[in-house]
Amino acid sequence: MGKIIGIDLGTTNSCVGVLENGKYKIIPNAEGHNTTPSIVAYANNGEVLVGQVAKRQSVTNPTKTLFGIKRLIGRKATDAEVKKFKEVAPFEVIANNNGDAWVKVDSKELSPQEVSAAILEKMKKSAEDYLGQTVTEAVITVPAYFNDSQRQATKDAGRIAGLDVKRIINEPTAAALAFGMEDKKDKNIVVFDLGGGTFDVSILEITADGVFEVKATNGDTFLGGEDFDYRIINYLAEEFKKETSIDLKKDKMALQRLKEAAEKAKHELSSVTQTDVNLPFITADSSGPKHLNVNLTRAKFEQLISDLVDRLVGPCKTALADSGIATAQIHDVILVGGSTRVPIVQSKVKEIFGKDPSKNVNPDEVVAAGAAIQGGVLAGDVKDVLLLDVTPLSLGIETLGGRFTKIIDKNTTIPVKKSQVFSTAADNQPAVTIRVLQGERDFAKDNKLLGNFDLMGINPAPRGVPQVEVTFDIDANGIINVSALDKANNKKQEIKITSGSGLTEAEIQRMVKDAELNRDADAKKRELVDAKNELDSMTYAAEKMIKESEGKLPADKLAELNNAISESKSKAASENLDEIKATLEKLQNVVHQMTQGMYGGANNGAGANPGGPEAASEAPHGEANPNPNKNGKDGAVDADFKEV
Amino acid sequence: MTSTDNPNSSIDEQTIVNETPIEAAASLEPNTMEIERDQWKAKFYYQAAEIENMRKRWDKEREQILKYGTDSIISDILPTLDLFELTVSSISGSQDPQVKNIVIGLNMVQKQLLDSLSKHGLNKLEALDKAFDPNFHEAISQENVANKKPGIILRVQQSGYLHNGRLLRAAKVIVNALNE
Repeated sequence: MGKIIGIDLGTTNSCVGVLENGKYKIIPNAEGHNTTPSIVAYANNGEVLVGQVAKRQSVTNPTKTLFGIKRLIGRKATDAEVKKFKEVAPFEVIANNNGDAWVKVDSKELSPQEVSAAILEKMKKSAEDYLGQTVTEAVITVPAYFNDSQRQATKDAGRIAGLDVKRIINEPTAAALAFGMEDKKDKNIVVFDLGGGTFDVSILEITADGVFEVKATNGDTFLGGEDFDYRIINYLAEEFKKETSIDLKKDKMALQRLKEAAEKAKHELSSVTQTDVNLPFITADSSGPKHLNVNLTRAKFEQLISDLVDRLVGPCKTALADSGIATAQIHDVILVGGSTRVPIVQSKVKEIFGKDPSKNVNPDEVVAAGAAIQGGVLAGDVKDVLLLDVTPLSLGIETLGGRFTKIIDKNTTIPVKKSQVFSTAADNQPAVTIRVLQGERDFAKDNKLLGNFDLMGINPAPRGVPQVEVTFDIDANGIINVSALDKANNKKQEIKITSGSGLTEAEIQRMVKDAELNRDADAKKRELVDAKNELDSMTYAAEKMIKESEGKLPADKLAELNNAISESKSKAASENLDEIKATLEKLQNVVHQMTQGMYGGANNGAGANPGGPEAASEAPHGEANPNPNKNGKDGAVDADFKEV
Repeated sequence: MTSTDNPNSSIDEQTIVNETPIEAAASLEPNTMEIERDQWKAKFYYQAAEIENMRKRWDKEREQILKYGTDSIISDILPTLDLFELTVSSISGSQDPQVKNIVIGLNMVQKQLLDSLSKHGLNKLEALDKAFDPNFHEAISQENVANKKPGIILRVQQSGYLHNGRLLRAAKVIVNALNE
């Protein structure tokens, strides 16, 4: 089953993606970058260079380094756009004998299709290297305003590159796909695309059955992030000139450094409110080397580009008017293109459309992502992907001290099966009660009880010795099977919970939120309960020590130990963490002294491990709680299990 | 599907809906079940194979991350290395013995930084007087120097670097024009 890749063939940069198991993946090129400059160069030795490498030699080869070819593809040489572009292009733009806009390199006449094909071939190769298989099919995106001739020409470019173009889709539609905009109802969305050199705004209508229709489109094909850069470059050069009377724009290397610094400053100002542009040894004159050090605030930057940002408004208003849709009827606004990262652009968008824009997809990659999704749908990948559910809340059981011990974390994809081994809390405990709970709180009583049952017939043994394996098995339908198995005698009991949690989405959200809000309070309680459990273990260990050392301990030591034990027992019910900790420490000291005395040395001894039964049961969260009464009474004897 | 969804549903439809699942299964043609079973089997195998393929891709990608994951940290340190070169080149002409000594010191500091980074796979490109190659060099401008080979790098304005064999930053150079 071959993959159909998705290609965003952009004016300045191109990007390729593929659908993997239902999720899109943007594929990096051989240089390790997710985007490739849309530049093709014909070197003197006949080599055809594509991407970053072509860009790097453009200065040595300006007439044969082709960029912005998307502005020519499918157009006539007499088109206004072509004429405007011809004024700035350092390479020759001509009309072929059909009047189509072509380029001339040396004496060869080349169609925009074959130039674009070189770029598509590079994207194809990146995909093949990543997938480890040949790629022969693709989905390619085009601007919504492309006419039939431009769309067909783009398809032809694909064919020349060895790709069967299964579909040509509109860039705003691809963006909407990537954002997952299809819903089960009709929606109006705005796609705001501000890239490096072009601005496009589209109003889309998405119907309940997943049909995307472009209602209106507008923009400015010569407005983008590069214009923002130029404003910063000019400002820096002006400031420098004021101080030194030197015009940096005349120095090629200085200009290069200014360009990079300006772009870097622009990026930084998207997250901080000011940045230092620091360029030491930017140039030199008779008095020595000169340094540039300018502080640029976000406010100043916004001032420098304010007229450019204002130019975004007109096309948006026109598009809305053309679509016949009012701002109040817009459901979502999505952002495409790197320049939408600039804060003032985002606030302008909010101002124009009255909505906070969605931006959770990388704006440089979103169009390719959508194309990849479309490719996946056409390849049948999507309908073959099993839609898997997750368990919305954690599942677990109640353990010693009323604690909730998670066995399956929330958001685990199901079906899933997980086991954990627990033990008993008291000597000769004959049964364990398994209380199955759902929720995020640390204590069982704060979570939802789904059902409970008992496992009986546990052979008599000291606490912490029996091994009871509790297994949670959730099947693909969300039915929870919980079992408890006594590993010594293979006795097993289980329960099946079919009613689901019966919780609504809202209730689930509330439970997750509750856990967040109560995190600190729960943590304190948890600390107290854990300390009490530890004290209990220590007391038990101390008592055991006395039994085992009959006669070996001197009378006064024995009395000291017994006092410590009775003090611990009396303090056991305390709710004061400090008191419990102090009592525990005291008991530990006495026990350690005893142990040292008994073995006459540094050895801690076997019976006095303050780690307690947790270590023995291999379950760090302790044992299943037989019943609230800890005095060795039986757990519930009658009912086998109970489902709530 | 119940009658409430479609008030015009026929009695036949309702009967089928009211059958229990087991009875419904028994009334299917045997090969329909086989077809469905085979479809599920195929789906399972495709899913399993896709997971395997994804794991292979992930392994390859993880190798890449381990090799090139520190690219961005090292890239951010490059301007500091540049600074040494800029500082030295602006004062290296001086005959003042104190300044000459500082130049020696600066070169030592730069070498130490380079040595540390080279342990992490950073290598400086030697570009001066080499043939211009856009795979490693970026031309800032061209000049016409008669007594030098065309396409030769005349000056290096900013050093280029490789990281673990891959180009991290191209050297910014001034090139001797190629004869047309």
